[in-house]
Amino acid sequence: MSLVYVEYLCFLVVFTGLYYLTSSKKIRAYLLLLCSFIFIAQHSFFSLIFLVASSVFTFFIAKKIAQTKSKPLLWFAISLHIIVLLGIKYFHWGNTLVNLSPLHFQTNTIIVALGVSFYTLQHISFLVETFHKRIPFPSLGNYLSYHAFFPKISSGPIEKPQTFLPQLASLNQSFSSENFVYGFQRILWGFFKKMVLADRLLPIVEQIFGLHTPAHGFTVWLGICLFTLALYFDFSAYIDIAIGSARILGIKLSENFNFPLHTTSIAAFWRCWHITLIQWLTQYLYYPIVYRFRKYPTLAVMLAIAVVFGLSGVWHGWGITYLLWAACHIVYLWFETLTKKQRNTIAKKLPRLFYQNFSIFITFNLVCFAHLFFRANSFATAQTLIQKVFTFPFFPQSVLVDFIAPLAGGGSQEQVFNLYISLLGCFLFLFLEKKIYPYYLSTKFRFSINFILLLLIFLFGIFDAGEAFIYLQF
Amino acid sequence: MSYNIDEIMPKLQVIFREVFDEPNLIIKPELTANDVAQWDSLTHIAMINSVEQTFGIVIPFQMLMEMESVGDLVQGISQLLQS
Repeated sequence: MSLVYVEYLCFLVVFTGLYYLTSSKKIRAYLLLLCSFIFIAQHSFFSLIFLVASSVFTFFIAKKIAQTKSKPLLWFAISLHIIVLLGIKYFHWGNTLVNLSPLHFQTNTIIVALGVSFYTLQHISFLVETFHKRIPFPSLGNYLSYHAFFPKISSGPIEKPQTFLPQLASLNQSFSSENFVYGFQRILWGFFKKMVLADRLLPIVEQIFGLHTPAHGFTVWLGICLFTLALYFDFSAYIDIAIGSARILGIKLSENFNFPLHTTSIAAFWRCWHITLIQWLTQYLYYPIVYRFRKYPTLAVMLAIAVVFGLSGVWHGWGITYLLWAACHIVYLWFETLTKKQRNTIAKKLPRLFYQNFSIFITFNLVCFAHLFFRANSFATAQTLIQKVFTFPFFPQSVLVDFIAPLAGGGSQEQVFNLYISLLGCFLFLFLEKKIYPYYLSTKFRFSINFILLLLIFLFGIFDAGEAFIYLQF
Repeated sequence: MSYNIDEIMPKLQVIFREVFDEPNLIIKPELTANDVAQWDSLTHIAMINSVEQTFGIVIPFQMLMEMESVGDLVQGISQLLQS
């Protein structure tokens, strides 16, 4: 079951109804766990078995760690999680287990263990926080819900145990119309971004990255930039739907995006993009590395950046393209670290608005260049795309032949119209999102914006051939 | 060498002005990284390094992670000097 489909909304409505029928904390906790298990099993039964097994193992080993304060046991548990994650993601152990199992699991998907990359990081957080005695030890049921909670199981946000687990201990709050309205709005906002924006852009992106067109120069670069927009709309839409669904049940999930494409530096971009992953990497890798090598501050920071982004690359996928994506960001951040003083001096000499917009433009293009490697299926594809971008003339000589037709996958009137609508909608939304969003959440304009969003979804949304959320593959 | 809280602030002021390259910076207990343009992870760790050398202390990792303002830093230094 994917979050975008009507079945998900039906599932959410039925579950919310059942959830608020009872005010018993205990029954709600069981219901939450049961429905989360059904949600995961519906994806694949193996995913459920794997999640339960890894959670039960971590729960009991963490209990032992809490009792004994054993560092070797902590390291053993963390190492095991990392090995299993690598095995599942890159060496296809999951497929092997599925094939060998006498239970004959049915898997109709390439994602064998749903959300494993996300909840593995949560397991590690829990082990470390338990070792340092920074969290009260939860019940097994709550620990299972911490990982299985259906709105966030597929692609996060990655929750810290200290922010999520206490909320499971207070599930007896009554239905709140404020939470419901906020949740409904976030879900609608997410559906709009997914169905109207992301799903319209992804076929255009496929034209470029699939090397289906003879385009070059600006046309290819626009296709690469559109992937960044599509990824942002797609992933942030998923997060909106997850946060909205959780809020209806009275649970607050962490924000994962904060208008990242409006940032003026790569460091600022990473404070606003996939926030929960970066916070996890910062807390458990960046700070300890910097602290350990603090006698040599510049070296410590550069080393920490390299380790954090190198591992982020591996976490996303095994292959040279993900490592090159990570390498781009390592180089960008090293450059920013080493030139901060000089850049501040330049900023003081230039008009503020000009410097700010110029910085946003440069940051956006650098992010897009790195995303070229993130999206390319192989190093050869990335190489071809770079060659195409630098084939001159850069700007298309014939708008219809060199620009519109390659992006639209042809040149028919309907395709051209669709392309114009998609580009106009996406760029307008990108520029206005930061300004509209606070109004959207205010009571004054809520109704009218909800109405417009619904109308736009029905008019321009992709209903029948929508793409799966991109981050499901991670 | 031992210091009391009143002696810590002036010494910190010197460190902050030098590390963050702001000769007129006035530090207050409520000052945080958001208030100083040059305060990023690189200058933060350079400042901590300088604090450790000046006061002859080692700030434990956990304590460092819990510090959010100059006030927290002063309290931490004072605590470490007394122990």
